[in-house]
Amino acid sequence: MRARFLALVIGILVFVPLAASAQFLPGTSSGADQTPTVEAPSANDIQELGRLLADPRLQDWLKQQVDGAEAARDADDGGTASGLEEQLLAASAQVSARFTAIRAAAQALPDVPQSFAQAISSELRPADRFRTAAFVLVFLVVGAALEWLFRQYTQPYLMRLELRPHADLRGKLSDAAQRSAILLLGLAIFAVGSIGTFSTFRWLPLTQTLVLHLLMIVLILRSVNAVSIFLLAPRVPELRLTPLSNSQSKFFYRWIGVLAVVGCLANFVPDLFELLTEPLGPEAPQPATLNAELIAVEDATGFFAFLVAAAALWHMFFANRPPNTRAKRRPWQIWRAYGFAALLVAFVLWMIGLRSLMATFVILAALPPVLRLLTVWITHLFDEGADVLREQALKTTLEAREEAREKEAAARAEAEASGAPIPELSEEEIAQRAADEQAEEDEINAIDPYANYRPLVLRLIRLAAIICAVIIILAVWGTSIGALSQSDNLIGRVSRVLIDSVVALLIADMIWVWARNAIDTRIRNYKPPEDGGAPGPEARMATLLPLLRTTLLVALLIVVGLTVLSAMGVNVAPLIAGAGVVGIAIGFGTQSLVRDIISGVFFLIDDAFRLGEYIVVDQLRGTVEGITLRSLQLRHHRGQVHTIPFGEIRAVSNFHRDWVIMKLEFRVPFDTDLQLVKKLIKKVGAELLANEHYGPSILSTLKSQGVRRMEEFNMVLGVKFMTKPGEQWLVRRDAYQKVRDAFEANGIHMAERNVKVELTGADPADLTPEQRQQVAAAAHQAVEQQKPPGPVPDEP
Amino acid sequence: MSGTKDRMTFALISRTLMISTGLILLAFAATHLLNLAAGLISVAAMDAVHPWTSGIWLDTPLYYLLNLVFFVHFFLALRLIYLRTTLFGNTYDTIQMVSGAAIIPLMAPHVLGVITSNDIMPDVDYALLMQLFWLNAPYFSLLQTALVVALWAHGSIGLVTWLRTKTWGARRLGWVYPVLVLIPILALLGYVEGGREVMIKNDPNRDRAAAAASGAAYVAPRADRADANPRPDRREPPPPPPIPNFPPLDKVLDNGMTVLERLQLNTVMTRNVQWGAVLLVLLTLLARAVRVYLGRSGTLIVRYANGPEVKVRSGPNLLEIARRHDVPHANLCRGRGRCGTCTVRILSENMGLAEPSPLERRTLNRLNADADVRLACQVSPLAGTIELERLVSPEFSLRSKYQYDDDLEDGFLTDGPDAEPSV
Repeated sequence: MRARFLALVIGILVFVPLAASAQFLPGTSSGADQTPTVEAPSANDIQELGRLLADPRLQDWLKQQVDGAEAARDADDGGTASGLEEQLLAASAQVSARFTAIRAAAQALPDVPQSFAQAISSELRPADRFRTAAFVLVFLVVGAALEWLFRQYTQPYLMRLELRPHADLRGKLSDAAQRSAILLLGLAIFAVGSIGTFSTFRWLPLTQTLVLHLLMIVLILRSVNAVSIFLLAPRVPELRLTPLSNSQSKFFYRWIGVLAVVGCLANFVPDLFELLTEPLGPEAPQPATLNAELIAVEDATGFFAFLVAAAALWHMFFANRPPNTRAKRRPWQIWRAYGFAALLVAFVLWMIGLRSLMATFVILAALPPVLRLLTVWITHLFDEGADVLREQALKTTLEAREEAREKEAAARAEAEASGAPIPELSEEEIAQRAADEQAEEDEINAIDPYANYRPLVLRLIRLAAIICAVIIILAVWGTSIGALSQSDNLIGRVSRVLIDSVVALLIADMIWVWARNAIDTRIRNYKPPEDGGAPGPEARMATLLPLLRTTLLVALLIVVGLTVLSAMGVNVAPLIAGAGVVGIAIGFGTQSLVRDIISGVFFLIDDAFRLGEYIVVDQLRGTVEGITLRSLQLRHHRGQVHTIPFGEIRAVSNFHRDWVIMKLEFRVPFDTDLQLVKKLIKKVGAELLANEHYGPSILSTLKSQGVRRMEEFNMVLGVKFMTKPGEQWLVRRDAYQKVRDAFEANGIHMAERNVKVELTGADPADLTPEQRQQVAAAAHQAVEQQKPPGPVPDEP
Repeated sequence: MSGTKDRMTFALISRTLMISTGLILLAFAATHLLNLAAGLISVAAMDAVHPWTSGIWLDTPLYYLLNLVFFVHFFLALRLIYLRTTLFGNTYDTIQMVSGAAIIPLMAPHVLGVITSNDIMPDVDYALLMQLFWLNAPYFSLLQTALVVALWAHGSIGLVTWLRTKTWGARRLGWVYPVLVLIPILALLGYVEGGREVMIKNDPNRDRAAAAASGAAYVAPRADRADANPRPDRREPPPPPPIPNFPPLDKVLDNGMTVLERLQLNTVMTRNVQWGAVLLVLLTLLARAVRVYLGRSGTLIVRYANGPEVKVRSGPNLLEIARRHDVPHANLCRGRGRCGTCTVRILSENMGLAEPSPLERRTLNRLNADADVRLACQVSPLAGTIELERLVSPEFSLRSKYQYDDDLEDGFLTDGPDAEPSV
């Protein structure tokens, strides 16, 4: 990882300053490449303006302008039609001219120092030289002193930022950013102080330009320095954002500094030379020797820049030992070859004078390593952050475990002291515990807290890098995206289509990756309820999310498709309208289907039911077994499956929410001791609560509600209890059983239906069997008249 | 706990002398610079405030004190350079050393030149000096600016480093900083402004011409030159004016020399002083190199508790080793053995450390330190392995200093590093 990173960084290191310098370097060819990008106002606009400005003189002048502009546009249209062959010819002519110029420059090179000295002595008299140097020193000192002052006040804070331990990625990023902000603020104060002082002095015009150049160079170099400190933090490993060791980051820090200096020099020295040797007055012709000397200076500094870049590459790849393992050495060698090859091609392009092409090539060549580097870097940042979070989680777990152990040890010690049997763990239990702990740790290690952001950030950064590259390349060619896509030729149109489509695709891709990741993570984290357990709120998501994902994909595809079509010039309005008409037709046909889908979504959003819950919909009841786009499937406890379209559901009764109260009744004779009953019920309640299986599910255990009502032959005792949903049946079963047993044991019998037959004035013993039969029949009839209790409502 | 009686050794006396002479010289420099700052008003104002600023030192017996103090400071500084364990340890020390070495070569032309002109001419005022510095001998304009920068940087570093080891000093640093920055800025601007006044007097059209020229002030380097404004004409300014009251070269002065001889003497003396100072510094550096070479011993491994392990060539002291390897280490006085914030506990060592010097002993006694506690800035271990623990949190600095002093009274240094000062 590290070696690869190293190999990649150098690519950027070398190419970016080169590309930057190439952009500003004047070229014999770059002037021809540049096309004016200022658009002439259209004829209509100008006439409108002319009407508004009711000055005839101005109008005449404007009309002339209009004619001129139109003529120019016509000429331009004719000019673009030059053939490929002509362009090739022109290019080869340019190259040969360039070689002639190089030969001349090589001959002129020895004269350069002399011209330089001559120019300086003719521009700056000795007295002015000293005074100017004094001025420069003064304003630099003012800037530096103010910055020093600022640094003294911020030093304690800066130090704390550097020394504070950094827990997570966010903290690290924020501290690194704050540190850079302080450095940059210091730089800004330096800039304000020095530029302020600079502008109070009266400079000779030429000196002013030179000094301003110097100041700009100082500011640019210091900005580069600040940025490289932000990323590399050569002194403070705690704040380093890149996966580099101390010595590596110092290495890069130094080379970045050197390359920045060389880049600035490559720009500044030719400027300085041209400025100094420029002939006086506009009419004075440019002497050929001076021109050759200027090219010599440019080429010499450019050559020097290339040499330094090559030295950087060499230092990178040869001074550092390649990685040991073969798997790592391979990419190292590939990148090394890539770097030198790219540098060589860039050098050749530069030599033959194709500056714009060279810059384009350098940027394109730098793009793969940059993208690779960004990927490695971002991944590293996330890995580092995730590691820290994981470590924290692990630490909490271990602490909790330690605490539990201590508690256990304390309990054992207590048991030992009181002489109670010491609970010993069997070997199996110990092994089981160790396995559990290992599993727990593994689980923590498997979690990636940034799983959702990783791909998104990667894509965003890559997108930004590509856009930057495109903008720079366009700038090198002297145009911009706006200008390009507004031009009406073929390239303009193609680029417009490409830009629109690519942007739409990339954005859609980004949204899709993010959404898919988020949804997949949620679904992966969803654990279906174990048998008999109540499903958690996540169950709803498990239903809704796949639906959402599919919908999103379809919607994104449609939007991207339409955008691409519209970018290609296809008028999508009729398409949308046509889709609308068809949609209406289908809509009528599928009205109820749509209603089902929509109300289904709302039921799910309302959280009216989840998978695995026992609900009642109108007359139908059962456990929710499946939820589809259109309908709900209930499994009745006796096995039937009801399928109910969402549109048909008016109200849902859910038996699975939070708690359930169950009321039971016992019929006991009138002579029962109610106090005893209450006591017994209480005892049973305690027993139920102590049950290891369902005890924890009881929210409020069995308690007596006293006599609920009196009936003909008995009293009705009410008892009730509250449990978590789904547990009530089991509890009820045991409650009945235990109450009955308790009553039996205490001589309380359940009331039985009996009919008392009162025989007035007769001794029952005197009755004849016939009469007895008659009495029994009458009693039976009386019993029969009473309506037997109805069936208990259906329950699972 | 060692109760060794403090002995006033040469090292201790030298340290005290160094800071006191430095403070005197800085005070003089400050008044002199304030005198220059009056140039922001006018050259006449510079003369007007002279008796109240640099005049205090130059026109009174304090002048002799100043000379004495200057030489004491210079030679003590040479001694310190000789004793340095590393030359470029930390930025501030390096700046202080280099700027200090540059002061005499930069200052000799100024001091000797002023003495000479006082010898030759009856009344030397600032108008004359400014004319000399900016017109007749323009290289002085650069020289003087450089002198101010070097001298003030040198003095400020000394002052700040000293102040921040004192509780009362640390409290006042908040407004010492702006003063330290303001004085040289005002002085330089006053100097430039004075020069401008002189130049305008000589060439009344100077600014007007410059203003006209700066109408096209920024000459774009690569703009289309064909239609850009031509380079403003390079007007030949008038030659520098003659020095008023300058006597004929063959006039015999009070000391028996002719003016010409005096001027030649000045040139020779300036050159000798400049080269002499440079030579002294170079000799000192050479002597130091020899000392270091003879004292070299081999590879030293330093292990930090709660920190890295570094491998170095022995020679530098522990503080310098830490700094060079980016091991965070508190040090308020930057290795002068004054503050005691670089204290380390030596956990183990196998090279036999030298006993604490009286200077170190004194600070350790003040801190009530244990026997195994040393000042990192005073210990230069020989080759071997040393294991140590930093006792003061590295972020420890000015504002936490107050807290530190409270801790000091509680003897926190014997409690280990947990007694981190809160800010």
